[in-house]
Amino acid sequence: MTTDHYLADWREDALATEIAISNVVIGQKPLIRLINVALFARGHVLLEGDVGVGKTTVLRAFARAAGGEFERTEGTIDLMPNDLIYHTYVNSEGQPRIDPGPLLRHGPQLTTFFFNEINRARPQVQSLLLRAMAERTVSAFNKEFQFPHMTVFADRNKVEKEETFELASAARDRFMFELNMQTPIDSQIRRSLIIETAYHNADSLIEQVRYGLCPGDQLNEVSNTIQQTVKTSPVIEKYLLALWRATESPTKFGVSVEGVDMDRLILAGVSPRGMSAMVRAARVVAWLNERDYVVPEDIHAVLPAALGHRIFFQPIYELRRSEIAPELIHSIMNRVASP
Amino acid sequence: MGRLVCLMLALLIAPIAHADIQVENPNRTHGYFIGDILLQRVNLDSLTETIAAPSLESDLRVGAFLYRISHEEVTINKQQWLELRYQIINAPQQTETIELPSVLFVTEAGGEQQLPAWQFTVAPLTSTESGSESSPIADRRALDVIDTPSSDKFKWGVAALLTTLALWLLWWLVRHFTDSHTLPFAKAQRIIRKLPTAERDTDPAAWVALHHAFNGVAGKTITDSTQADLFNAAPWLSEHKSEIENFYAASTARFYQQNESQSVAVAALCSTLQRAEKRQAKQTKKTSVKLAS
Repeated sequence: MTTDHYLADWREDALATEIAISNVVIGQKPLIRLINVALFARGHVLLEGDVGVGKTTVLRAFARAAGGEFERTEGTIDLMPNDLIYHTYVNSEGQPRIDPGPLLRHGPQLTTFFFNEINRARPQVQSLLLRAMAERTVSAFNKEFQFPHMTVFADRNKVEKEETFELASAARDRFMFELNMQTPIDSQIRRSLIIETAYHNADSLIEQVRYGLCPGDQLNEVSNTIQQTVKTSPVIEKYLLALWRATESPTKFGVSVEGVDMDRLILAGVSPRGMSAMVRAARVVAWLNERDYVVPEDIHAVLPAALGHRIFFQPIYELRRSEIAPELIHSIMNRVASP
Repeated sequence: MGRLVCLMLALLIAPIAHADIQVENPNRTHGYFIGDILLQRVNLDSLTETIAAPSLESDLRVGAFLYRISHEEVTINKQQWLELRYQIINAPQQTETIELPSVLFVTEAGGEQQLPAWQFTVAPLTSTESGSESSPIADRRALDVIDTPSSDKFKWGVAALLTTLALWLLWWLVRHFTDSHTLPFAKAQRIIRKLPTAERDTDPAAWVALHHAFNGVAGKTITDSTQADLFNAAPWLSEHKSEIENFYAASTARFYQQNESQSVAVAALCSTLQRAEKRQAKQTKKTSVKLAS
């Protein structure tokens, strides 16, 4: 099978996954497209939104589509890193037992690790995830465990701030995308969500998605093929470098945000890891659009989700992040030209 | 000369018959000046007797004013004539009356017939009073003063016209300079014109300049998929929509797909859009003036 046919077959699967999940979680097509992109770009996703909008449902649906082994952990204030590695108990014979925790239980077969309410977990737990996400390995019991196919989906609600721990910048940088899930606006969709009984049972909804529609243990291979096949021209490379510089020195590109002193806004621009994550994601978008070259639209499709949480503001502006970051990203896309 | 006449100059005027001699004298009416030639003809056939052989002298000064250059016998209409040529060799101080001398013809029979003297006037070439104030010669006389209307108004008019033209030219230059440095397509055209003519449609700088012009008009970066924003921001570009769409399609292929097979006349497109931009700028200016008034 040629590379073209191989990628075309996988594209069909990827689009079928999107359609299947869009039928389960209605009114969230752009968000589902981005999660799908992250899946094929081998990136982790942090989902933020109000309570009860369907964050968990959409991530579980993706986990089912990816097939493989699935683990889930609820973030709580008393959760400790060890709880992810192992748990101890006394068995029925009165003997102490140590069993692998959710992270180690399935070993290399772990495909999806879903961390619910991640901001309720202590920073120690978040730190454990840093390595697990970046290197897909964890050291325990004098041994290194590998999870080559693991994708971390995490969510957090943005309503409550009590007994929560804001994610450290290093932890946020590990997520390819930070997505905001909104309550659907369309009245028809809202009506369906509350009236139609099919949407009242999340479990039965998720079961509508065919298990292993996009086999998670093959995603690394297809992702590598996509990254090697989809080209970035010198003009696009120049554009990417300009975008990167614009996140560091927006004023040099005429980028402005109303009511913000742009010279005092940026503490740190996007990291090289952040930029490379965005390029990987842009290549996947190009592939989904049946192209073997990246155009600025591919970059624009993922830029807000990939870079919005990776630009760090001065403390005085950090409190207004949710208001400033989208405007800044929008202004960067409008001001930095290509070609 | 077979039948030539003997001519003698005689200072003495004898009582000799001369009434029947046919003579043609010079016939100028306004007088003579130094250097003029005077031709006097005597019809020899009109003489009653045959004249003896001539002894008339040529090259002879006759008085203060005349010089006889020649004399010769000629046949005109089968008649014999004697032509006497004189030249005026002196100029009088004032107009004077002088005369061609009388000529005495001696016949073969010993008789005489006399051609009478003929008077004429000789005048000086220039006035003897030249240089005097009362009658200066033409080229030294002061010019006549003609009483005409003052030329100040004309001068002021010309000055005002020239000033207006200069200000208009200055305004045109300033506007042209400002436009070419501020209007997006004018700026792009300036960049394209600096490129070698043969490379204006192929040089990436020309394409980029036109892209930047579109961005400038829209106030944001325009890509192939966001052309609608361009036409929303600048509806006057809609009449060139197909050319612009072609340009973006070719640009995407060229810069991102790295396929340069699609060609676009970038310089011509930029020129067309620059003219449209100029018209639009004028229209906008007119509208704003109307609103202000």
